[in-house]
Amino acid sequence: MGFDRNQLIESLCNGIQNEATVAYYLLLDNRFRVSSGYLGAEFQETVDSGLNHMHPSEPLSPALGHRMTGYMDYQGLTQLGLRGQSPAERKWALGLQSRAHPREIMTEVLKALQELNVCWKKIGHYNMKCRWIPGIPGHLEGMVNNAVHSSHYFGDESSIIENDGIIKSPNVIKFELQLYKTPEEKYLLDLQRVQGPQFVFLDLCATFLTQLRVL
Amino acid sequence: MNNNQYGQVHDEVTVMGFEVPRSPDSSYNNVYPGSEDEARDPPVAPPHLQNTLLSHPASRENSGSLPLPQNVILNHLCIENREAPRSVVALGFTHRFHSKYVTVVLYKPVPRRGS
Repeated sequence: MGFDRNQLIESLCNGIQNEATVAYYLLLDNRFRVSSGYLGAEFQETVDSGLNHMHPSEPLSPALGHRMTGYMDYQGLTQLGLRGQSPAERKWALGLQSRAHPREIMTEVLKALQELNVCWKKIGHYNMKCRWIPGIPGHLEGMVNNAVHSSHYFGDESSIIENDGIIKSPNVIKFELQLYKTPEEKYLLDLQRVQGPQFVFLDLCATFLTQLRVL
Repeated sequence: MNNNQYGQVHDEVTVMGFEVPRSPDSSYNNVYPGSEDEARDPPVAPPHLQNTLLSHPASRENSGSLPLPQNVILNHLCIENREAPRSVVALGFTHRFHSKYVTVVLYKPVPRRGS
């Protein structure tokens, strides 16, 4: 990785924290998946703060957001603390889960999409097809409080071509969302990319989750 | 080829009778579902959707090989479980590029909400 071996050993022995030692510990933890050490410290911290957040006491979040967060809290805790599993084995789950009423979920989801200038149409039962074009004025850049994000990320929209009055952009994102019912009396919102660059889609999803207040 | 909604891949073949229906921009009407639309429960979640490669356990030997993903999970969004309040969100999905499969993950800081 380009670090000086002797310097690294010296830093490690002296307990100095620098780029080299951080890299070393991260690699070490990744290789052995221990629950102590560099990542272990993080684990302890998050369990402590996590326990405080199990109690429903956030008056500011809307009902749906709170319920979704509540579920994800629970799942995170059982993975990290109560079941004694290795914290480095972070689990990934498909989509978003919620215990709210399906109609309520759809309303909140579509409202969040509308606020982000995402268009949709119904294509099936609890099934929408959505479309979004980055860089449209009055849009995402204004919503997200991040000047750096808007200045260079979406870059050059001079590639938008007008064709018979229809604006085409090579970065148009299309995705489908489908709400499912799970066996555990919960509902699962599944998002599937249909078209568009991978990272633009993921970034849109991150913004969507923020807008939905589940983060 | 330009109308192929699923294509960024140029070797897509269209099969007679299986063409992708046209989806003009104007068809996106932003209609909120009415009460009669959602009288029934949503469909039951298919169990195989949960089989994301992202949750595949890492082997100690670091052999570097993963099983092939099932077609059904491709392009479906996965979210990493993290403790709340999270400062970073990790999102990912697996997609196909020609004959290979690529899993992409985005780590993004969560914007802090003002009181």
